[in-house]
Amino acid sequence: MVSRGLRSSDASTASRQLRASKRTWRRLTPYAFLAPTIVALGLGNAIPVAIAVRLSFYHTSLAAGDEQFVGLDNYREILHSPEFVNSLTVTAKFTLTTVIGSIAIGLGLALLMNGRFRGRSVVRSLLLIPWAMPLVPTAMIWRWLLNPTFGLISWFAQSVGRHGSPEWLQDPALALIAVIVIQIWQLYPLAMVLYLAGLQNIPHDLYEAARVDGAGPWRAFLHITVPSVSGITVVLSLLISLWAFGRTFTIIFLLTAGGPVDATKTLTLLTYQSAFQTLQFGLASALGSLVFLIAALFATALLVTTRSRRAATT
Amino acid sequence: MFRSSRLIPMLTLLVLVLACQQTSSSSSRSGPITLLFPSHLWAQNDWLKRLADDYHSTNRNVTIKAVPVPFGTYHDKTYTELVAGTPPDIVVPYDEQIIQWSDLGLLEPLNPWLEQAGWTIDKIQKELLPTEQLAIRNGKIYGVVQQSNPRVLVYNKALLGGAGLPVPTNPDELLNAMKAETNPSKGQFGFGTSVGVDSVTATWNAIAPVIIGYGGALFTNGKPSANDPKTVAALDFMKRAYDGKVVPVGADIDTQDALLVQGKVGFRTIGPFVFGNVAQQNPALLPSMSARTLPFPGNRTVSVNVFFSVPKNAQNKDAAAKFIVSMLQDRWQVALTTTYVALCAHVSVCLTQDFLSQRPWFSAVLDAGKTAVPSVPQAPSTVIDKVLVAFNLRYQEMLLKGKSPTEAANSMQKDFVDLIAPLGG
Repeated sequence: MVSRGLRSSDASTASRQLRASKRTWRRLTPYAFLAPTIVALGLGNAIPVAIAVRLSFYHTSLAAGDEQFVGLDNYREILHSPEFVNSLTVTAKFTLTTVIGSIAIGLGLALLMNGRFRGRSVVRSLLLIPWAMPLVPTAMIWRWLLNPTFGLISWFAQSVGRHGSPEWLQDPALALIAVIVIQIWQLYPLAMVLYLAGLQNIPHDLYEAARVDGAGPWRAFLHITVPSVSGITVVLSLLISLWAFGRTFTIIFLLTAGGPVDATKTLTLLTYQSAFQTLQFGLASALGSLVFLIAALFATALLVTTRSRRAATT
Repeated sequence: MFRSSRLIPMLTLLVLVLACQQTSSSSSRSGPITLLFPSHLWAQNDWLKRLADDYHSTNRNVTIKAVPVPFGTYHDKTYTELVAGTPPDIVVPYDEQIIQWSDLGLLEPLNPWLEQAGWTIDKIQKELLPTEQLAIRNGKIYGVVQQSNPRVLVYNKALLGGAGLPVPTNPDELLNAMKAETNPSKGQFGFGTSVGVDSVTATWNAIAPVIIGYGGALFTNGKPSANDPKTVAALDFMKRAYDGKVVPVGADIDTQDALLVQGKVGFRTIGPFVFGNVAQQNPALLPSMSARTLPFPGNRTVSVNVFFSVPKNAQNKDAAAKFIVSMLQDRWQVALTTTYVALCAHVSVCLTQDFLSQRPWFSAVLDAGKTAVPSVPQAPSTVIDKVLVAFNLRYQEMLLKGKSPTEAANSMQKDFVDLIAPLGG
């Protein structure tokens, strides 16, 4: 009896251990799958970021023996520089208008594309073209279109009797607007596709019920559509603002190279110029670190606000 | 399906063969060498390819790998490779880079290889172009000048004749001729120059001939001199040209080169190499093209110079340096001048009677070469880039924001004084 009891207790212990071990494996499995990505990201991102942060405390052109520790001097120089203030303002204007413009146009077109009409598939495909276009040809085409001397828009303006078109990319008052319009033109399809997917998931019954209750299209849009796609709006705001704030380089570099008169010089262009035109790699690293910090703070704030709002509504 | 019993011996054999190959190539001193040579010059004409093929024919173990790259970001990219310690075997610095890169210790002195070929420093200073001096620091030669392009006034005789005007001899006549030739409805403009849409270096290279031509300078003997009346007069000339709408607004310098080749631009202050471009791309226009020295009151000009150098960390320094020195052979100097239509390093060799009699306008290039100074401002080498960035900004403000030439020059002067203040300037 005793031995049988012992055997049964051993078996239950073994079974418990097996279950515990299975639980541990189950807990660890996601991390095992994530590990390669974490290692790759660590090597590809964290190490360069750490090197850049270290460099931001030096004066260096990166040539051997050309490093001088300067503490926070680079950060001080940046914060007191009118160029930084100008670039920060340009970047803020660029980011804000790009986010609002892309989201508004994307949502508007998604609402249109969500309706039924002949040729809808063709129109949807055509509207996606800007997103599919590679950046360099896009910039080249827009440069040619907007050229005040030889551009298509100028030719069209002359052919309808106007004396040329505005100097979109050469006029300091217009260049930023032109660059923003082109950036929105490139990004709205992303917003449109995501919103379209979101709109198709809203149960039709909600609109039926709203109509029965006497709500017009505008109220239905405000009280059903907007809240239903608010998650997408948050994701888009985050994605587009991070792109516009810290990663938009190619299109502006190719269209205006930050000019005329620094009118389109965003923080990324200023960083590039500091590193590769004036060979101030320490200063450029400090600028890069600041951009990283601002973007990280912005992303965190947006995510925290969204989470707390979601928690309050559930 | 492979069976592991077969696969393992096959892999072992493969590893052994590869190991033997590796050992034999690394142990052999005359093993194959491939010189990595990225440059925009490969795409311009076939001179470099012919030189590379010739070098390979006499040094069978050395192959020069041509890597055509766009000019726009060439120097930025090459600098990154130089400081990262992974440069190509041969690099192509211009005036600005030869000074900076040699000062930063990124280039290998070529003295031993030049001396081996009979080019002592005395002989170099006597026989090569004076611009070679830019590559010499404390007796060390960090590069060999491949070609030099003194800036002259290149003009289209057909457009000038169409306007019924003689070749201009002073700034006012030049502006009048530019206005007379301009006809936007035909896509025709009097002047091709940088109008605020180009890179910092491209803008400076386009405007420097005018500033130096007027006798002005951004720096004189290392001190800022941007608000000198001659510099202000040069800026005033550029503003009058821009406001007179004789320049194709919005066209970058590459587009303006293309317009010149198409016969759509009347005048450019540029190097003779454009004749080589016209000969290649629109030979029918060549008889209509001519050149004279700059018609500005200072009677001076700048030259833009191209150097070949070997990076300090190049993998194959010996072969690369020998290749560079090989271009100083007389036949390659002659071939360079006829192909590029530019000044070679060894001028007394390359300017043959045949060449000059076929191109009577080239005498203007020779005259310009006598007074040409390097295009890079005479500022301390550590601030040259910042000087050009500041110049570009103030020049754009003058053209595009309505600032007067005096205001622009004063702003530049202040920027330059601030820049050199930490250096004790």
